[in-house]
Amino acid sequence: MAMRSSTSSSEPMRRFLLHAALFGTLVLLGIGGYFRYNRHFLPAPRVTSNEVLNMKLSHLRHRGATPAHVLAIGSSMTMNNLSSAEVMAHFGDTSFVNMGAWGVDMVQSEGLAEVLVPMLKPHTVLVVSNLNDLVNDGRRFRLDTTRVVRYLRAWGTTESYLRNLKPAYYLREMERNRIRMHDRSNYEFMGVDEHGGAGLVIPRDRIDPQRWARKPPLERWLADEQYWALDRLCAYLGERGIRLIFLQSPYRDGVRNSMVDRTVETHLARVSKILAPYDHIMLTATDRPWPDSLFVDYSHLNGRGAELFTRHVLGKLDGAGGTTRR
Amino acid sequence: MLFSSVDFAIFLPVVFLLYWFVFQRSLRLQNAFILFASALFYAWWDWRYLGLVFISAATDHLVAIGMERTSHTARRKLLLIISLTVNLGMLGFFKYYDFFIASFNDSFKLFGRDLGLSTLSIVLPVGISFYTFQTLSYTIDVYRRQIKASHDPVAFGAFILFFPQLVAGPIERASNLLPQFLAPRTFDEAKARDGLRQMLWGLFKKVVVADNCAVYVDAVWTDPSLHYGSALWVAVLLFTFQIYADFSGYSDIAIGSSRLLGFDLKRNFNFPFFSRDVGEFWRRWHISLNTWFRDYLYLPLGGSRGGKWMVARNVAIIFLVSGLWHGANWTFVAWGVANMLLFLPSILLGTHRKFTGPLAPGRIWPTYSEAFHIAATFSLIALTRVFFRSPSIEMAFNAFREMFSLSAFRPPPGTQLSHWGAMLGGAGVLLLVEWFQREQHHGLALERIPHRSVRWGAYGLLVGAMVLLAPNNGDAFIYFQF
Repeated sequence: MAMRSSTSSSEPMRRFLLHAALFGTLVLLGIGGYFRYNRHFLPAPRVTSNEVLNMKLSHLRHRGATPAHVLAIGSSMTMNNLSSAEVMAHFGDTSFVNMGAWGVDMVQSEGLAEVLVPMLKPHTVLVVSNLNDLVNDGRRFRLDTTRVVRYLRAWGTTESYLRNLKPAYYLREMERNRIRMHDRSNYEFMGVDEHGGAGLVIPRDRIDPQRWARKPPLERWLADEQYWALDRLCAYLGERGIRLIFLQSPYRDGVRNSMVDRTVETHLARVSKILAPYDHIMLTATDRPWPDSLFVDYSHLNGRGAELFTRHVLGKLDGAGGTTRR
Repeated sequence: MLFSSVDFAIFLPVVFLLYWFVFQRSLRLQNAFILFASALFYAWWDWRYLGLVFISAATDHLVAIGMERTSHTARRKLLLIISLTVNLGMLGFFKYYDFFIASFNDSFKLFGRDLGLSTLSIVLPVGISFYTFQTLSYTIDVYRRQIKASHDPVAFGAFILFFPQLVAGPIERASNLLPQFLAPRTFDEAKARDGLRQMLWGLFKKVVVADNCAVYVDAVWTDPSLHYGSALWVAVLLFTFQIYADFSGYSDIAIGSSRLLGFDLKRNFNFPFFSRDVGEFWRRWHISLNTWFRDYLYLPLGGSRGGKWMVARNVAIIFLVSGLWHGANWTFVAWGVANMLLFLPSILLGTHRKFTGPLAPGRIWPTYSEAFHIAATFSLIALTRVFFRSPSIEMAFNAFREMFSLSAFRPPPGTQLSHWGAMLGGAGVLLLVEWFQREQHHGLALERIPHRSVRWGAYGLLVGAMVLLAPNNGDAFIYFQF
């Protein structure tokens, strides 16, 4: 006969469950109340570990599969340094989507292009970049393109949150969103325009001295893996008859020196060699000075700087395509 | 299934309720349910490797019964060899095959011969080092006639697969845990409450301290050559906190969730950061593994008998094997050697058991001498972690070179102020709480505090810290890879 093991209906068990339930309820009520109070700042489902990319993917879901003639991908260089107004002015009557997001390096840009290009069917892809996008710095966020595709095409909103259930993430990001959705003088400003661009306007007294003084990466930090990804991206777009325009964003004059310029030149020569076989275009801004007054740190332009930069580089386009460094 | 995941937050209450309310009718049913729940827990990662655990458990169950049924010494030894071959064979193949083949190829290349033996890129089954040692200890104990063989396959299976400690310990002994599966269990409210508290403390350590430190450490250690010596120093110190908070946090959750089900697991950490010398550190760190090595390797090698040099040899072997147990990489062997070099002088001078008594008894703070010893021990142990964290020996030496260069005096690269706050604040809370709780069996043993509101306030603060300070990329527990 089986041995009886325990009693579950005893008073101690009842008390234990009651207290556990009470404590759990208090915790849930606290968290629930916080969610309710901040519901307008609820971040997009955490499909990737990059919050701004998640937001842009969420916008894309709502936008639907309407084609975008011009698609911009890349890092914060694309998100902050590319002026949507100037892009629209240059390309005329077109639809433009800026999917640039912080921390997206070349490897991830390639992955994202393979998700976004079939969906948006662009004729031109813009990549705004500088040296930092080609460094493996160990802080690369996780990008699972299969999940992104499922999120964009298959999952409903509730399902998306349930599949990415990270209460701590949503709580913390809600608190941060209260500021960064509206405050253009915040480096993490996420109040993007209708195309996805976000120009930064940071007053002098709020500039972060550490960011301002940061130096561009050394040549030996640039990773082959990143250049190979750019090569694959070129091939992918080339096979589909899509024009890639690679825009090299400048560093502020105050951090430039002969070593930085040499590194940038070596980098541009390498990028140019990668673009050449596919007839893609590289547009550089190194042919003119970029005064410190146009920047909010060593590499991010302010709103005015972004306009000047975008106008300057796109102004070099003659509309005929071809492999050129201009 | 990670202890710090939503999956586990659903899994454990469901198991708890079914265990005490549905399957409490018989001990056998309860054990069968634990076996099923444990298999599900393991299969959550990869069901294909579940077969290995069952092969290991079945082999040792049958071998032990076979040993008990014969008094023939040679036959008993043969059965023991079968168990060792099966268990260590699986461990060797899955964990070390690629490592030894690659090392073999490399050593022949030194003499100009390229053997070109191909590796298999084998995926390491989670927890294989832990359950292999647990099941081996059972067979060896039965062989030594220290315990009787279990004739209940369900209870034995539940003992081997017991989900709280299956994948990262504590490595249990059959003499402690198996009898608990064979005796009726009664719900003990005080034990369950304390279990919940220990789980909460473990979660705090994992989510707030370990995961936040991991963000900085991983960023630096992806390629240490990109960073100043100062950044490497910061990363090494943070990694020392990370690995302790990660692993001891896991052990706390394992012990706590076992207590909810009425089981008592062995203690795995005894506040090792307050060790006054390296010998004391190793008596307080990963206790279940170190006592395993003591009982099944050190003592059979002769233990403390045979003079200082024999003892030193035995200790050296333990550290080398321990290094290799942690991972199939020469960096772990180097880590073992580094610890051995720190420990051996005290063996040779006979001072390795100098600090066995309580720390700062009757005092709030340590004396200057104690504080100096604690800080020195912590620093030495932290330095050995460079080998532990580096992907290659070359990288470890490059890191050391940079750490002891002038670049160690440059300001380390910044991270967000809130992140510094989470890392340093979390580590500070951990140190303070564990210091004041150093006489207790875990950091949140608050049953002495009579006021419920104070206790609940403390729990609330820890939950709040976890909710607000958890980094976005919580990683798996470090010791899963071993």
